[in-house]
Amino acid sequence: MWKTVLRRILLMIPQIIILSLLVFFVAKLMPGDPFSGKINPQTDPKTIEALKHQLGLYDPPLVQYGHWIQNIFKGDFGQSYTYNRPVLGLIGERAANTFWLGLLTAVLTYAVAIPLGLIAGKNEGKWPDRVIAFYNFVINSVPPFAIYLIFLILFSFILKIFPSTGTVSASAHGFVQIFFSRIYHMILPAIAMMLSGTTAIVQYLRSGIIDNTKEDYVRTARAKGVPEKVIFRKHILRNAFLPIASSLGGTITGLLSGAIVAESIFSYPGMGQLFLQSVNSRDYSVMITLTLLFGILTLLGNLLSDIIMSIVDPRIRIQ
Amino acid sequence: MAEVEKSKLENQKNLGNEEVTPSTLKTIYREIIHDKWAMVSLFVALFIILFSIIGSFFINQDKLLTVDIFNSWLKPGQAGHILGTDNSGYDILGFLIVGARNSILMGVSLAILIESIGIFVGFISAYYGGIVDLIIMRIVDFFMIIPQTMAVITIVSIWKNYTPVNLVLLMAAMSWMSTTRLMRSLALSQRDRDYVLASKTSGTGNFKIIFREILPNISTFIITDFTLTLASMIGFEVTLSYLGFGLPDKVPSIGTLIGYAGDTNYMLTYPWGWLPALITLVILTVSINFFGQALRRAADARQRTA
Repeated sequence: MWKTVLRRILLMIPQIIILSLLVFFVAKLMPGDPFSGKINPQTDPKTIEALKHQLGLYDPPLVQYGHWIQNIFKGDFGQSYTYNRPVLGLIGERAANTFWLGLLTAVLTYAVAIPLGLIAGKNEGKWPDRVIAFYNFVINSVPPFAIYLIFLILFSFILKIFPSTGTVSASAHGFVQIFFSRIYHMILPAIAMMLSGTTAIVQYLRSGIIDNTKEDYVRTARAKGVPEKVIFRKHILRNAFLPIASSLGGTITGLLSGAIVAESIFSYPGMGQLFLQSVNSRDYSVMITLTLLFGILTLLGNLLSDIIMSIVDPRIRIQ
Repeated sequence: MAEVEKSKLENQKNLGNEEVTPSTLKTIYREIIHDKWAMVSLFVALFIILFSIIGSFFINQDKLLTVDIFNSWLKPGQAGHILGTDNSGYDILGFLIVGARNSILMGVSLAILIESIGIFVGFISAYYGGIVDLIIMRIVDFFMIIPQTMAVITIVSIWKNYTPVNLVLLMAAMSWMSTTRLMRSLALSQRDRDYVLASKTSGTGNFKIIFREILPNISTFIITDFTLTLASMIGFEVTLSYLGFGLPDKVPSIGTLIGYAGDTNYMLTYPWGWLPALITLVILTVSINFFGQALRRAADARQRTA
């Protein structure tokens, strides 16, 4: 198994290098320079020129790329122009918020999708299956941002059940209160994001159960008198769960891309909202770092899928 | 050679005969015509598409986009504005029709472009296999890790004066991968079939085999994927325009109107600004998706009902 993992990691390296090259050259196309905000109209143009030379802005692009990568390994992602502080710390704070929202969403997603998939698969063609298929279809057809928007308007503004902004209320004190206040602030975006996450899992589980029920080994088990319950639990379910295990990494990717839209609609101060704010204020160093970060996180999500797959399904291990 | 020609002729004759296995497109047509809800959804989708395209011919766009602050936020029905006006005094109904047309045209051109790229690249990858396949699939893998929405937003934000055509190309560049994978696997399933091998033996050129023989055999899957891609691309464009990074300022989109819901000052006070657009979007994407799903069911023999 370790061979498989190692191979995957080796395959990732060229991808990361190309991604970072692309991100770097897009960054080069952006107007402005690292001094924006630090100099004023009275600064002598010669001083600026000297500073530019000193920072290596006139070096060949590949040399500049090398410097940029070196700085990244030192943990220096540059300075945020709007917040006037290092990018790393700024993103770190927001990343924690996105992480908690993502975790809650993922827990809710599996808690809802697995029972739905089980019910649909066991009752193929009967009314529970059809109701779940309808739910799946509707959620899949409506663009996610419209679902978020409808949730926000309905539950935060018309029914006023959930708060519409922030992560924690100012009046909360002590660990327990802050903990519940956080969850209370996250629950609406988490439910809205959960909905679009469930459809694929429900679909996989349902068809996994239906397909595996027709397999020869299930017939063999029946023929030798294994009780139905055991057949379902040990033979059908184990195989039906395989694609779900592999979708775990995809869930991470889905949560990240959902975060950009969801966080901006629910005014939740995570990385997605920070990204849109940095685009609007032309805060390029933040934009660039976040794009690179999201790309690498997607890669790690894929790697996680592969590792999980090779643990649960020995057949796909590469020799 | 003469015998091959003869059997070809015989095959063609048989195509017109109902007793022989009907062509896939015909089967789909037979299936779908009996699916009442699929026909209803097709009708609804076509109605919205045609209404917005034909309707926008009767709308003077310069007049529509003339700022008239004395008539801002008129209620629906006031002063001849059926759905009222928005912040700048634009007629919501006119804005909605033009916006829907633009969003639909974006979606259609994206879907056509993505299907074309997918068919071309996917087929070449599957048909030639080996090193070509390996390289193409590594490129697909690489594009899959680029965060789609983020990449489009980043590039749009530094691209001065981009046009809708630029946007289509950019969005297609970030969304062609899954269709390409699908087309590759479909072509792979056909590559070693007897009819392809027979054509090869009798000396038919590669491109003719790919586009004249394999393509028609998987046409149903292409049509199905087209409808589903269409719906998702309309959703993508509207999302971008909602966030303010979609169609350029002077080109209205459904997303521009829905944007009023994102502003807490307007959301509850002026619901007529965003509600019609949101309803149109939901009905449009749901009906296109429903028709696409029905097509997929009809194309998949295992799920056939009739």
